[in-house]
Amino acid sequence: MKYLLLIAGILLSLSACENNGGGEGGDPSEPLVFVSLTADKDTISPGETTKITAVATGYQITYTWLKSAGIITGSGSQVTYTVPPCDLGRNRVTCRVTDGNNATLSKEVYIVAE
Amino acid sequence: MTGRAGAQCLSSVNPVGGSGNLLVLEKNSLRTIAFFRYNYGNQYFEGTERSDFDLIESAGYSYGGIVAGYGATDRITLETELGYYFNKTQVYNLDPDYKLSGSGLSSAVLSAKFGLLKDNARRFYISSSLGVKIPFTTRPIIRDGVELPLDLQTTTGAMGAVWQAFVVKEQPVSGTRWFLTERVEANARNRQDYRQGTSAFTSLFFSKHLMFPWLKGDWTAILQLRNELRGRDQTGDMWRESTGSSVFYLSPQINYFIKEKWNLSLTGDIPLWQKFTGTQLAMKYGFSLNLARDFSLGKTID
Repeated sequence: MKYLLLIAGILLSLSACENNGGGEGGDPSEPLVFVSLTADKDTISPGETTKITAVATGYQITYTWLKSAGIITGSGSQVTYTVPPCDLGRNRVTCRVTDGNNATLSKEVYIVAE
Repeated sequence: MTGRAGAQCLSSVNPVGGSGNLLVLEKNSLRTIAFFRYNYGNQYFEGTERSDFDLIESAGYSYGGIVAGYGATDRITLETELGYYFNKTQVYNLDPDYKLSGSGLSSAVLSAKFGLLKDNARRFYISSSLGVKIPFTTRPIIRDGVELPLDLQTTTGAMGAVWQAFVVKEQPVSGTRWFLTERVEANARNRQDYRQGTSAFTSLFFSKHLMFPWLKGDWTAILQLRNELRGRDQTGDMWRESTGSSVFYLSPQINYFIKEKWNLSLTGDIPLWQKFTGTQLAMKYGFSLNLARDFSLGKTID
């Protein structure tokens, strides 16, 4: 019985890990709410980085990051943004959150590279 | 064809290599060329000087392509270029280090090549081609939930036009050949309103058939001097900073004819002189391996 409980615990843990980014898991009726999208800096120079953080709640959330220019590294709810010298200007970074019911919300943040 | 190299802040072009596809084919004959190309760079340049900027520690790509040509008539050859990036990779000087990679099909080029001059007495030939560049996708590649940078996309997602010209002069007595090639690519805007700058690649080749008593087989040495001129990119109505360049390459090449049917060649690319607008990552070296063969319709050309 003890081993069965242990195996069940491991399986539950693995299942929780598959919930990309959100980790909130559980309740399919939980509505998708995109609370905020913020960048640590709104102006950077080439090679400088800024963290961008998305805060969202909902059922099995995944995060997709798009940009008009620049380089995004990392994944999930927080990524790092930087620009090479060819991407100067006012660049848009879009975060799209999708829940397990395929509901989708997006927010944008603008970062000036100069 | 001319070998083409890549630099950062310059997005996807179809890299092709070699010098085996210059003139029109005979009617009902087929030419196939398979090639592999690798490029690597790890140094930024500002203008003509090395730069201390080091956002990208290293970048490179490996690419496999196929060129197929069919002689529709004795003066018109229909051609197609297709290729696949096995990987386009950038390693960043971030804390911690980070690497991004993209892979996928590049743009296809469909073209018609015309034989403009064929003077067998003087061994002088001119041909020219006009084609259309078609992206395999218009949507950017997303990996692990993140849209890859433009330089790692395998296509810009835009249509384009490709014009080429080939001038060949042969001197059979000395076993030498001069040829001049020009390739101009003009690009339309993609869905993000980005337009890659027009590029012009000019190559001057000198080839010498190697005939030495100690050398077995059919060998040819080729030396290529190439200029790659790239115009500046645009987003919307704005010119993008740090795009546009002029780079001269020296490209030694060795060809081997296997059983007078298969043409195998290895080409190296070494930048001689480079001038960039703004700050850009330059190519350090590249090489390509080509395998070509001609076929007649239903019968192998011997």
